[in-house]
Amino acid sequence: MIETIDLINQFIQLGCMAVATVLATRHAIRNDGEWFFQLLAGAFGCYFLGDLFYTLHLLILSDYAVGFSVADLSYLGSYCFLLSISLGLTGEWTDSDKRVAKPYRRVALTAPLIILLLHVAYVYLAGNPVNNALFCILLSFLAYYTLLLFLMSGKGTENEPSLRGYHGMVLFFLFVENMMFLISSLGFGILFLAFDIMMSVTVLLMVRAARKVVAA
Amino acid sequence: MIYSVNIFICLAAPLMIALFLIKGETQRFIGFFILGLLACLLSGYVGGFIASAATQNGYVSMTAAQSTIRLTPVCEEILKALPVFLYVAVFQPKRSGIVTVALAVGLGFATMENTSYIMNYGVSQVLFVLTRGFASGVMHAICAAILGYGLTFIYKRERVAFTGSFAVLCAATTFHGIYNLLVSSSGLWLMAGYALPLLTAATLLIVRHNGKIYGRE
Repeated sequence: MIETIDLINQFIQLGCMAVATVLATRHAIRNDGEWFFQLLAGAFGCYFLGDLFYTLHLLILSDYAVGFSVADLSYLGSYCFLLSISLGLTGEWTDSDKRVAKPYRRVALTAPLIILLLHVAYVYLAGNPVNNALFCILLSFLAYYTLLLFLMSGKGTENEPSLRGYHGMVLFFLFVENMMFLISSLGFGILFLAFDIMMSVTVLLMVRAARKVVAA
Repeated sequence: MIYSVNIFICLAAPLMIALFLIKGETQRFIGFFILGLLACLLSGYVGGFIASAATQNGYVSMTAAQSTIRLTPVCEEILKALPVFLYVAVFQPKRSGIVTVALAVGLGFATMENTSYIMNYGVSQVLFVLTRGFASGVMHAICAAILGYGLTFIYKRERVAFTGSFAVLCAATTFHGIYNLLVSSSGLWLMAGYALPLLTAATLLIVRHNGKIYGRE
């Protein structure tokens, strides 16, 4: 029963990731190889490949890919793509932007702190410390830079919209992902399914939020 | 001397002579093709060593099939990526040059792997040879293309060099892992595994011809 639910879940996620990858690639091509969309397409493509591996592992071997598998590597790759976007955006800051960002840096530290606490709880419940430490480090960096960018980006205007929507979506994606870690170790199957679907929808909203800005 | 080393010498020797006779793009292609051959030779040793060391020390218990799915893609892709990373870091080439070099390494790797495979298992069935050539051979080229195109995304952005390179390597490794998982099975999954590299190559070609994926130099 759980396997069937998990498979349906995986198919929904696969579909959403595939659509997100195609949309991001299309935007990258239309915008003359815009680096932002190239990396976004890479992030979704990597996540899609990880999901595909996980689903095929479940279908072919009738077994979950436990321990550190190739699927985990692709999820890490996906976060690295998202982190690259954040690092690329902060790299474009001028000196005055850096001065403005100074007070926000302390506030942004709360995001990795929350992720660290969630991962400590997760390791306590589910074990596998090495695997989870890798995820924790990467997600912490991603959360820090994304929150910093979210705090720094204004609301934007109709002519000059900001990337605040996109950063908000990435933060929500990270929240959902971490909650899924925790829920999976507690064994709430239906709640996990709900969060998984929420994550898939978030990915599509992420592309939509980014497209608005680049289109403007 | 080990058998695969003999194959490497046979394949690499004439190419090494050619390196001194040819200049320009072709010389670079041949140079990285030889590095691809070398990467394949090393991956056999490194993969085997890690699998046996991990099993003997009790870190993990891994069957040959599990090793093919979990360990082999990681070892092979890292060794294939190293010359490309080095090339990008040291020479800071043009975007198109990165893809060419990555493909040269991938094709070299595929050539060495296929030659070793055929020497071990024979060439009596043409269908088998064709499948091997168009599936595994193309798969290595696709992984190299993922790496090459991926590196053009982070081109000249030093701030994202590390995270971007790691991400691209992860994508190539996962594609390799999916292929290995499919071809380790039987029936329809096996057929899907053989078809996967060609279908992906077709998709990449369509994307490549429909728009400017490289971006600005």
